[in-house]
Amino acid sequence: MVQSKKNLEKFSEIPLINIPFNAIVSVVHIRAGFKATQRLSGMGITPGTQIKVISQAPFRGPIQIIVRGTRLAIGYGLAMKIFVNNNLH
Amino acid sequence: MSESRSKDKVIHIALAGNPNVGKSVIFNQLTGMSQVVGNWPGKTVKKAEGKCKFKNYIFKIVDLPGIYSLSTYSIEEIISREYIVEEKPDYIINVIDVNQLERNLFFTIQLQMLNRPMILALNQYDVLLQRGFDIDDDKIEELLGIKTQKVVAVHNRGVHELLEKIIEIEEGGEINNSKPIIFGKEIEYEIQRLSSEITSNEFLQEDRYPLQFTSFKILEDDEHIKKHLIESKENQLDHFLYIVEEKRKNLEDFHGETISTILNSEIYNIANHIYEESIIIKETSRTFKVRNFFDHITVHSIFGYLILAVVLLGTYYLIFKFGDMISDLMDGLFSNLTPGAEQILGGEENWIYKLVWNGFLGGLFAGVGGVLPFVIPFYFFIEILQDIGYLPRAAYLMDRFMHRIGVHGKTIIPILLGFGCTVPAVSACAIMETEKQRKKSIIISSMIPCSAITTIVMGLVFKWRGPWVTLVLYLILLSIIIAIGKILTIFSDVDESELIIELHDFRVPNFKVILKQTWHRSKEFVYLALPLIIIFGILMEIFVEFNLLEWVNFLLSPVIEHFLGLPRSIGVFLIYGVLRKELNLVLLEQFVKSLPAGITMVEYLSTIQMITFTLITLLYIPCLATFITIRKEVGKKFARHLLFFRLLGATLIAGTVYWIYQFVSNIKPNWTFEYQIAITILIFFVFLYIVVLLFGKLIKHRGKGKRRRFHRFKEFAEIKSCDNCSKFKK
Repeated sequence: MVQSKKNLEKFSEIPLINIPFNAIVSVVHIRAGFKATQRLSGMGITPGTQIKVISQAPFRGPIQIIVRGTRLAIGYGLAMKIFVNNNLH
Repeated sequence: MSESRSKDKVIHIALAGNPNVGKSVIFNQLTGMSQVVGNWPGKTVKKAEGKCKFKNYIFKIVDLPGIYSLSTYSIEEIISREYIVEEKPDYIINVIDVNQLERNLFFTIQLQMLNRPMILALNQYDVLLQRGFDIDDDKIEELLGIKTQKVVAVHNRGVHELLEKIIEIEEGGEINNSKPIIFGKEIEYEIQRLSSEITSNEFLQEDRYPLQFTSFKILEDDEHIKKHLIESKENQLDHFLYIVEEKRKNLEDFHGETISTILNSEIYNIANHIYEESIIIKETSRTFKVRNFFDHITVHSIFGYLILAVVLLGTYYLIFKFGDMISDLMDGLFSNLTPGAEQILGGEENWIYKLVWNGFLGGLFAGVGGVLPFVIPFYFFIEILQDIGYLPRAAYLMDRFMHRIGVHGKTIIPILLGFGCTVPAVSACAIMETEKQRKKSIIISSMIPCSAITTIVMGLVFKWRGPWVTLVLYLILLSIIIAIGKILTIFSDVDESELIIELHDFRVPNFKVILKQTWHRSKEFVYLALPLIIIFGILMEIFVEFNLLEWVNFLLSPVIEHFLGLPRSIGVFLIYGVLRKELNLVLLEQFVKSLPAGITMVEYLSTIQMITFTLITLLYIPCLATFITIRKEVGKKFARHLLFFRLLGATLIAGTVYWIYQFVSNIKPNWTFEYQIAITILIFFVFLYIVVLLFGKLIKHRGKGKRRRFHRFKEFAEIKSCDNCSKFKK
């Protein structure tokens, strides 16, 4: 799941898809379009929110996360646009 | 009786809440059988209303659609907030799932801004205890200033106490003691400023929404409120909108986020505060651990798919076993009754007999025997799967594959249903969030070959030409579905087709509710579809009586005979197929039998003709019942357009295949038939690919896939140290 860990280490913010399972991270930025951002923030994904990634469906499927006590599935493309703080290093 | 009724006070109640919190269960527990299900005026969203008599009061209850927020993302959201501010229900019962308190409170706080008296129903309290938590409801009452009630809706615990609380307030005379929402410092400041701006300007007075809500939403750039303001007082507005714009920009620059994120996280802050104050941690019980295990295994990378397959195949098997049984029973009944009817109505030759028996009753039996036994169990099974919470998991597992054809994971549900019957598939498209997505999934799922079409393909192509030709047919169909999905993607926003779905815990289904929902859905279908099917049946009989069919064939012959290369008499069968698709095959077989001896299906239709005929059958028109359902679900105009494009598309596609084959067999007549077909299909695929590509080029491609996304990431990573990041926002 983690693609080339080495490269990611130099960024302090990385997309949500690159987070290993069961790690808890917090959201820094959302870089999606207006509507998608609105939807995400409506579902509780706002900057500073703690997110725990549980699993991912195979073949670049959606990821399953826990946000504010709710289990959500988020499409791969959208998860790509949610940037979280990097605690891999 | 009338005297006592006049004493009863009528109280209007609206049930509001997130999806899947048990709102409809509470609604059903309260209203029992006295409910009316219809559509919201002018909209295609379901509206459920009901009445309930309780302690000298008559409660009129409206079940609002389940939504997450009061923004303008979906039609449901707009309907809900318009209803609350315009109809002004006396009380709102906000149903929340205590297991997801924080997210649910987010909605509660927005509702509170609408300034109506409110009661909080803390549903699924039993699950919360099982999970090892408890809730301090007094604390919530204190923080929000609204009355709460712990509810276990499935077991009918605490439901009527909700009404008691309302009566308490009603008789106590205290109307609204809910506390005003106070945001964080700078946002509260801006909202206050905007509010005073609005109050000081007479023309800005929004008489519908409360002041705080208007200010909040105008700050959020809410299209709906803005449009309403602009409509009424155009010229004086520029200054005000300029102020709003400036404030919004200030906030965005300050936080480095889009305005909706800032405002939503503001609400979440309040929700989080209440959540932390009121939740009490205890010990997890055993039943919950078992449930948790099921939760995880159903979304497992391997077992998840296995379970999905088992669930689906099991469902199909059961439905078809049941459906076939009833269907055969009906057909048997019809043919058994025929001799009797002949005597009463005066024999085979009498036109009354033909009209009444063949037309009216034939249509009736086609509907009751051929469609209903499949549709009703299908509705029943969707309701069960929906109620226990399995459907989102299927969406999660299949999202990747659905993305390939440009729709999001949820579409898997209508598509899977489509293999059985297109009617429930089309109504299942209501789960899509926006109108656009819904139309898209209707287009896709109505193309899935339903059981009737499978019967035709098996009974015609498979029976006479073997598995390979059948495979070729399905390949063509699949490629067309993918092509259409791709073309539709070009028209839509990339973000919009991304999945955001809640995977809520499994729960015990409430069969009372399931049966009721199934009944309502089936009833609607019967009322709408059956009359039309019968009328169509009668019309066909009149056609036969006056020998108009020859004329129909003649009129259709330029297309059927010359463009598609099919025998002329096939045109009529295609028209019959609109009523019930199997009739295509049944009538064709009857016709071939009536031909001079020695001619079988193989002589009558060559392989390529069979392929063209089946392709037309697959694509041309969804059956009458489907058409009616589509009309009801998304409106007349869309249904008409779909019909037109399906007819045109089917003819063009079948024609293209036929002419490519003609071309190939003309230049390479000495090749074996298999080669010719293979080359034909190859050319067809290339052709289709080019068409899709051309479409993409003609209409500016908005999302350019992976490369652009990566690019954006890189760009962002380089720039992030910059203080003012607002220019990288859309």
